[in-house]
Amino acid sequence: MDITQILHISVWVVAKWFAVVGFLVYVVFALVVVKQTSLMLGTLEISFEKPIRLLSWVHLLFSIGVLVLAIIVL
Amino acid sequence: MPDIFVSKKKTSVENSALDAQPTLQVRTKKKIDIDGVSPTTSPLSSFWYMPHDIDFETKDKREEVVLLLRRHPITNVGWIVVFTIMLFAPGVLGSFPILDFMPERFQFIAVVAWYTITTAYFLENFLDWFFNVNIITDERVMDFDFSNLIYKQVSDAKLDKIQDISYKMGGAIRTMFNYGDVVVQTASEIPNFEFEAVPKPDKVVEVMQYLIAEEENEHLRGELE
Repeated sequence: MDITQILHISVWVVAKWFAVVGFLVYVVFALVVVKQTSLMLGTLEISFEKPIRLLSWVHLLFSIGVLVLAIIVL
Repeated sequence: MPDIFVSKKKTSVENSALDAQPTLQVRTKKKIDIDGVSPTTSPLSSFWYMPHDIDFETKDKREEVVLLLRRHPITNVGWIVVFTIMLFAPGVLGSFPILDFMPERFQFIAVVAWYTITTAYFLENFLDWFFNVNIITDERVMDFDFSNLIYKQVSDAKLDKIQDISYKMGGAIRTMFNYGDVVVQTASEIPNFEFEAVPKPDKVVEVMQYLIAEEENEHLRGELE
């Protein structure tokens, strides 16, 4: 007998929370990117600073958006 | 009773001489004239000669950045191709029933997850290329290493500590696109600096040799005075 049948839970509910945890880890990664980009730009100030900073922040917002989307859609 | 020693007040001439000191460094900017090397303005250039608006943590106020080097843009082709394939993969694979075992909402999220991985791949490779730079100033050479977004190493060596400079260009692609590795041997704490896959390695060596000669002249002038 399948363990999910014993516990009366759907395999897709388990899959949903796996996906949500995965996207949560991705948000942490995006935060690390923002922090590291800021540190790199602190170490080395190049005139292309604004687009790089913007890119890291857009990426963080995208990752949060994806997390919220996964919670809503799944 | 008169004072034995009265310190002289600084005259305006002396003060202006002190103020004028930083401008001495600017002469480097004017003097370097090497064939085939002209100042560039793009911050995405991999051979950025006489860059302005560049600063780094340990930069001295009077220090002048002469050259900023990155890997040749052609070295990015590999990951750009993989990124492009990743970008179009869901569209191409959509015609095959790979995700059909999933409910529709899961199929949609799977595609979104794929694009997040694609974005991360692009971001990591681009930032790795953008921030891994070598800087040559009129005082020293510097190597900035950032890898995997979590590791940072900054090394530098004074120009007067440099013992030997050489460059190597092997293979058809490197010859065709004129890029190679510049190896700098020093007498400082870090014995070797390697500028990997930088454009115009011959010109890099030429610029460094010029700056080293300038540095030696400066020392000689200092000793004579």
